[in-house]
Amino acid sequence: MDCDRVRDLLARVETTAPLAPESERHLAACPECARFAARLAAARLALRSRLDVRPDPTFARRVVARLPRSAEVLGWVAVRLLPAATVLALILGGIGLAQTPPASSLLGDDDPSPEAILTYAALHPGEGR
Amino acid sequence: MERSYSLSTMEQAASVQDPEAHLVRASLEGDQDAFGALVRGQQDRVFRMLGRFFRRPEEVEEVAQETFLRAWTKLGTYRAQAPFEHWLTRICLRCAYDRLRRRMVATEPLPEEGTLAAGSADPDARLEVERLLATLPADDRFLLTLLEGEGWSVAEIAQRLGWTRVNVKVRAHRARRRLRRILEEG
Repeated sequence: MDCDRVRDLLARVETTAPLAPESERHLAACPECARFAARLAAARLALRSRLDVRPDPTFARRVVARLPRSAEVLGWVAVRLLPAATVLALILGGIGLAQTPPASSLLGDDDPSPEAILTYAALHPGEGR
Repeated sequence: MERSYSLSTMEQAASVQDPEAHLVRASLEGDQDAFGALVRGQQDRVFRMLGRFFRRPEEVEEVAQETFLRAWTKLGTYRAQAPFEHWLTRICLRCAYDRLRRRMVATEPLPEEGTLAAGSADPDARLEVERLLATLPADDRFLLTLLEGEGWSVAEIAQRLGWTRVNVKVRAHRARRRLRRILEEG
């Protein structure tokens, strides 16, 4: 079994079962993989660690002191402004659409009509051969 | 000014039986004392969770305050079908995630000896591995902490954060790969 395979097995977070005997033998014989396994175990321990800190008795009071004057005001304003904002967006969108020039006016008159082509051909009989 | 907030008959019945639901309702009506009672009921759990992500008590306190302030402003989005603590957990994790991302990497000073609830028996090994973990991107550290520290499954993380399972799986895979690399190279 190669180092890559063993380390891959070790690094799977879900792996809780003991390693297969083959992997254990590899670890015993490979100092680099053994070092990796030790570091991984320490990393997992660190990730499981937790700073043991508790709120002091004034915490809730301090949170309440920082609350905006009233959540309901914000909620009320948001709820009341939403329909007005929607209507305004629709009006502005409508105005924008109404003022958009038709596509044909933006493209210009680059495509001559059949009549213009015939007239040009009649006036310049030598061209286009 | 009272927010027009109506509860169905079933919700009203639940509110009578569940004091927390009553506090949520009172908070929605602007009762800050009721919200203070909610904070007192949840603060230990919030601090415990944040202690997983941060190594300075002041930072745990700051993010805890941010969690409850955000909860207050978003209380109108809480639906009583799920327990309040699940809803608050999502906000708490979001605040922790945002804070970690703002820092980009989990570069925190190591805590004083004895302040960690669990730790390596070998202080040198712990210092070494903390130094390596500090080089992980914040996203990776966040996810690995939930997987390893909280012991949550991919499905649980997805449900609690409101992410898709595929998203969590992909992030977890990347995080494990990077963890392996830094442990190999460090």
